[in-house]
Amino acid sequence: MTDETPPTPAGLKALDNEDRAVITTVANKLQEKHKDVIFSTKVLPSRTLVNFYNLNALSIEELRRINICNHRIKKLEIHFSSATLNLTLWKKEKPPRAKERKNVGTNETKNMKRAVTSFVEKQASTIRESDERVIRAVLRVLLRWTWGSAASNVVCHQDGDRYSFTAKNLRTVSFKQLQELVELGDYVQGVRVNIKEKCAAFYVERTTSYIQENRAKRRRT
Amino acid sequence: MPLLSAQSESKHSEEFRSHIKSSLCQAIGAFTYGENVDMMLSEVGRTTGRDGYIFEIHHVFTLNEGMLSTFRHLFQNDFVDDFDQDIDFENNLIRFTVYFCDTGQKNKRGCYMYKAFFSFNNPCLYYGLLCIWNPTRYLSFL
Repeated sequence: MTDETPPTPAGLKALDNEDRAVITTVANKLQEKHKDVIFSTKVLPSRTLVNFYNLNALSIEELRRINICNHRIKKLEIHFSSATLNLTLWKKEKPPRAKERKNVGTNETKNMKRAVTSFVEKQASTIRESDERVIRAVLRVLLRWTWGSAASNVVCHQDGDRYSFTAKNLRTVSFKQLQELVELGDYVQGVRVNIKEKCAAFYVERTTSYIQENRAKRRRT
Repeated sequence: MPLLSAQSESKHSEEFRSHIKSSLCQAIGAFTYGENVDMMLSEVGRTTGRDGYIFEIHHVFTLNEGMLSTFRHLFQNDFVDDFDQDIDFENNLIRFTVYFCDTGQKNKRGCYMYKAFFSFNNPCLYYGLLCIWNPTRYLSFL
């Protein structure tokens, strides 16, 4: 046995121990699946910015594992234009600030509704009437991701009891936004982000209650 | 491929987009020298909420007020309702979000109505009409 510790990479020397530990943990987690992953760091007085490159695709589970590994990870964002996973580590706690409640104007809400309705109408042949409510909720989340930015192209396919969604032409997507989608319910599954193809994909399953209801109706008739 | 946006693509917005694009290309051409020699324009896509379009100018390494004011001047058009400008220092790019008016004609119509409102509110017009109607009575005031 030797007491020798592995040498610290030259780039990490400028960082303090805490930051170094977090970055090493995240890099190790990413390297399990993505062998060629590399990273760059930028140390600022208030925070440390870490960019991970050479990533192909990331699932929500991988991002969740990264997010829970340390409490100092404040932001986890995927930038499609630069094909990077950006991590923000705050050095100090942010000064407490009065929370500003964002009031979404009635005009905006109307516009969102209109956009979702027009999409559902276009895809009327694909979306079943019984699933319309779930699909509308999913589309509203997707629209919130891109609101005020470039509109995304959404492809929706139905395969039996499963709707597969692909949102293309995305600029950025954060872990929080992906989490928002997952939190809609058990219907949303398999959320993954393809950085190379600049898209996010997921499935929407028809709930078992829907299926059971339909079966019960069929039996009665 | 369906676009998840509140605005559908119209003929007017397509015209406005191509006009803005060509004028931005010309303006960029004037500034492609020195460190900005590789500057290029890219179209990001339509906006979600309002009728508009997003343009990005990449490889901007030096920036001055003259350049920014030239770009801003391009958006002072009849058919541009509003615009936003973001500078991304990390990626060396400038992003312009241009919001179009509903139609160009609607904007002009509003302008004519504004002019007409003020010309009909002019007291000289009514005094002139009175002078024509009864010159001996009303011209004596002058």
